[in-house]
Amino acid sequence: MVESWNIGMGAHDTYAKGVEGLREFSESLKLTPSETGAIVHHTTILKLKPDIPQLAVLMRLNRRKTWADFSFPEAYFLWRRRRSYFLDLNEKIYADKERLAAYVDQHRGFQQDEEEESDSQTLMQFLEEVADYNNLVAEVEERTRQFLQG
Amino acid sequence: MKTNWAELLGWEKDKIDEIRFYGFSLLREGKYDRARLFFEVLLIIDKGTAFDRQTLGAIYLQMNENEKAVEQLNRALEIEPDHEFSLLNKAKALFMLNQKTEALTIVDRLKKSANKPLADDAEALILAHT
Repeated sequence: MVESWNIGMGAHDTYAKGVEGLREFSESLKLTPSETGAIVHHTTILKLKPDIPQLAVLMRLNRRKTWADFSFPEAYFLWRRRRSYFLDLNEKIYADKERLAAYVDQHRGFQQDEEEESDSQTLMQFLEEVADYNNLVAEVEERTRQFLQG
Repeated sequence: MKTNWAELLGWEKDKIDEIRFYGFSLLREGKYDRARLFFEVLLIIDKGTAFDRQTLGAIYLQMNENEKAVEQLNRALEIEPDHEFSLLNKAKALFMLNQKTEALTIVDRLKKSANKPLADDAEALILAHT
């Protein structure tokens, strides 16, 4: 370890000269009020907004554009901040699936129209999709935990 | 009598909103087939909201299911006739179905829109199809 008293007097002298030189240089950069006024007078403010031709915008590679146009649901970005990775608890999803299956069984054979049948199938497919997704998220979380624990 | 699925499953407004937001997140990730399922479920359990129909119509268009897109967008426009995104999407679907006259009528109106990117898209469609 180098200690300060090991540095010779010459180093302090060089440092002092350096500081003095810097002070003189910064003094020379100071402008008088008339010089400042002259700069302001000759300055023109340029148009800062870039003028990009429409073709360049269209061809820009980083532009994420889909064929269809979508609008955001209200409060979407607020929701994103507090979202959970799970859409619902799996217990609740299994309960919903059982309730739906029981209802369909109960009404099978009665006058259930095609639309109702198709709706119940879509709902069941949705519940299965959500359950699969939740299982996947749970697996990822479990593996992350295992990795962190070594 | 039609089944009230939301009541049967005990799904309330919060849950329905969650489904909408998750569906939209899938859409932003480009998972259109999964997003479609979410929005189809929304129409089953929460019939008639303009946003869900507009979005489902746009998803069908994105997936090149143009007839379904037009059908869904027509229903969305019955609820909100001046929704410009839906009008533009409908025009695009009509162009794909080779129904140019109706599509051009729509884009001709949209090129005067205050929404500049949307007006530019409309203009581009006119240039491409005339």
